Amino acid sequence: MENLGSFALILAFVLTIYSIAASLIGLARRNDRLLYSSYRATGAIWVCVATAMGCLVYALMTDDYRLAYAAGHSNRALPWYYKISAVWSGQEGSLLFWSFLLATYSMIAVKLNHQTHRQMMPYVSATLMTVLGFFLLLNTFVVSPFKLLAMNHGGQMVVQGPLDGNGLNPLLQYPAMAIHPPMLYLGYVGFTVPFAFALATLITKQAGDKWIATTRRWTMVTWLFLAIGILLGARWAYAVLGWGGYWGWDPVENASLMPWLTGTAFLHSVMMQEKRGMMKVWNMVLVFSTFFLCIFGTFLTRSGVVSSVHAFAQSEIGAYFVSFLGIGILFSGWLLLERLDYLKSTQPLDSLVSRESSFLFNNLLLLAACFAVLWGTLFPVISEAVQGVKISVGAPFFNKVNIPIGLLLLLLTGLGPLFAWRKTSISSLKKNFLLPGVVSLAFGVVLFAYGVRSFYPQVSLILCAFVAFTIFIEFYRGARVIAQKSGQSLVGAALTLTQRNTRRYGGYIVHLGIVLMFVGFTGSAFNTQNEQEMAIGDKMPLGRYTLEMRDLKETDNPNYSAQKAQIVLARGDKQLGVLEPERRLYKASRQPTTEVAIRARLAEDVYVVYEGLSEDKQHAVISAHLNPLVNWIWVGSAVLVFGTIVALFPSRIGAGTKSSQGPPDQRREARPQTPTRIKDKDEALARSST
Amino acid sequence: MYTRREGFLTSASHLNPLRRKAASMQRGRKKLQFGIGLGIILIMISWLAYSGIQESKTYYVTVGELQAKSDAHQRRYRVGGNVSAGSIRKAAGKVEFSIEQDGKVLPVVYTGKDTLPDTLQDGAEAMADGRYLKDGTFHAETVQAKCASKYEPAAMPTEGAAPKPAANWIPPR
Repeated sequence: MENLGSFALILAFVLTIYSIAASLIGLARRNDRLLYSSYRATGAIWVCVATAMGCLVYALMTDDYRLAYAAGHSNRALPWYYKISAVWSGQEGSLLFWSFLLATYSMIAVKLNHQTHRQMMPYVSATLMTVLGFFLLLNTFVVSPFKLLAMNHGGQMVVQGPLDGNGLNPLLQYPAMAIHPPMLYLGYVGFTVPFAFALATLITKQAGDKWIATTRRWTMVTWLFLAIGILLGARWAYAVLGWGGYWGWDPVENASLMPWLTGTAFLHSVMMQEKRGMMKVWNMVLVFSTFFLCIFGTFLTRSGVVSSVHAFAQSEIGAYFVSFLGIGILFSGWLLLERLDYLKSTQPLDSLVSRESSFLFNNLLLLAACFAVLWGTLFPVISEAVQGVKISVGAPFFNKVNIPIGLLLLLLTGLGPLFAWRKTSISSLKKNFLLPGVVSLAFGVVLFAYGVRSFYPQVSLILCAFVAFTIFIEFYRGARVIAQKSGQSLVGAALTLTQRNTRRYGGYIVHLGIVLMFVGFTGSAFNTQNEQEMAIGDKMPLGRYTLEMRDLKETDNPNYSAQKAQIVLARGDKQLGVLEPERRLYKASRQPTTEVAIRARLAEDVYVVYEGLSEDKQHAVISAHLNPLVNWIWVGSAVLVFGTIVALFPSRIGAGTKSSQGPPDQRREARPQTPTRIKDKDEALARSST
Repeated sequence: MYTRREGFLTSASHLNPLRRKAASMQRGRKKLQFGIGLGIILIMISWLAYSGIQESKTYYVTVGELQAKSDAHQRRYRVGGNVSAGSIRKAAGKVEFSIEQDGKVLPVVYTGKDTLPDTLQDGAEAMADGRYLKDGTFHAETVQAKCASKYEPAAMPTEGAAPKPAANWIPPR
């Protein structure tokens, strides 16, 4: 099995080299058959990499501990689904998984586009294959997942594995964690495709618009996966690590956040290029940065440069990644400078109070946040290089910088969509912002009266109200126009409205999700906690609640043994339920873990951790957190996912009208180049609905 | 964005020198407005970043360096080492243990709010962030621990080249 896997990987590596060569030579000699064969090769490469993946999964499922990877990351008693997830729990496996996903994406991207983009495609394919080649190089020659264990039998080395594996890291034995890496990787890997298209655009000296239209959905899908991955990671940290929070500015968390930030900036500034022909260079820079940050993220996660939850022991792949990043950045930077002339804007910026400028500021802030996170993450490395001392910065740095940036971004989320393109008139400003402004300020006064008096939470909640209200008004106004015309109910009209312009209204739904998440983040300003050594019958206060220790039980199963505390939760005289926080000792890895018990409600979470027995073995150390509003983060996440999916559907201009099926969404798609001179968005709505 | 030449060519205002001047002045003003807006944001962020760094910067040192330093009480430090066998003492709100590095022993008192990582056990590699007090103890605000190396099969000579298990750094917060 391991031979088949290794062989498949080598074959895949050879085929990627063939594919690169075939597309470049085919291009030079104008040989279509050679080009075609280079495209076909992506399919063959996929088969090879998939075979290698299959071999690794098979080895894990059949407990083949002769393989070092299986012995290191699995054990017999592990449930089958965690055996599969062991594929991406270690360095070798996860890099193979990277290659597998990239091979899949490449095959699909080539298949979908090689007819329509004949000129660019050889370069797109060659770029994809170069990146894949790099990862396959690592898989094959540096960190092969198919290394065997040997034992010394009287001076002779014999291939033989241990009887049982070391087990999967118990912290990873959690449902969200089993799918968090694949989601994150789908995001990381997916940005290779827009990158390849952008690079091909530059090489072929095309006007920089085609690739944007082609890769828009790719980028959104990828961005969505990345978002889901990050959020699942946060959810995992909250439910498993037991420190009561979900985000610790850990280097690897930062690594996943950075490409998401630049990706978000890209999704917004792309609209400037589509509608107004601006920001062409900037979009290139953004898509390049996003891709390299994805590679950098993988590097940070898998190389152990900075110590973190995910980092494996220092490994030899660091130098490879640094070289790859260096060469890649230099090449794309040089190419961009070389081709600047082809990327001229066609429109000047008209006004400070316009949609364009709100996008500009949005981009600037997202980039600033990304840069701050990058700076903080690499601070130990930078300070060692500059000053010769290793200095790290902690959460206070990240929070100090990113909270105000986040709030400004939230403000722009409310303002931006209501500004018109080009220039916004004072009267339309009044019309659009008077009501939301008044309502949210009134909300702020109410909050103040209820005792929310610290600056950031107050501002954050006011902004949340403001943005939510502007989004509501957007839907209401659009729906009212349609309802008056067609006689639909307002809700039905809102649905029709969304169908007619999925991108815009899906976007609003995503914004709403972000608002809900901000509500959740703000809740952390009001967290309280308590810790106590408790004997059976002892009580501990926590905000309005009381926790009473009822019992301490022991359980045992093949995978782990556990101690479970039973704690009765009450408010006043009313008993609310029993919480059972646990401490487990996993047998294969001999590692203890904490299982948190959470009573989740929309208003607040009661979060209880059993930390173990006290010094005298007579008391259980119980620590409890009261986390207000935290669940809105997960609700907001769901809304964000839903909104993105809505935006991915094609718009139906004629939706809701019985007579005309209408031409498909080409009208809107074809229009962007000609700037529409619409002063007011109501006018725009009226136009689009007629 | 745009170049001046291009904006000039695309607009018809170049036919009239006066209007041309007015247009370019207006554009200059707009640029200035943007510049001021961006400048304010960047200065604000830089200032926040600077103060955030000052507040939380932590120097990486070895136990030996820390104990040899005369000005060691003013800065925040991160030290690492192995947890001394039998040194962990837990009480509510406080955990004491000591770490060893190159034969030097440093007593650590953890008074942070968050739960200590499960991997903090005898022999485990631990990293502590905090301040070094004049009484020779290290007051840690956060502690990270990596599971003890004695569980690595690599340490068992009969197995030859065995894998290292994933290191598990857990950030307590």
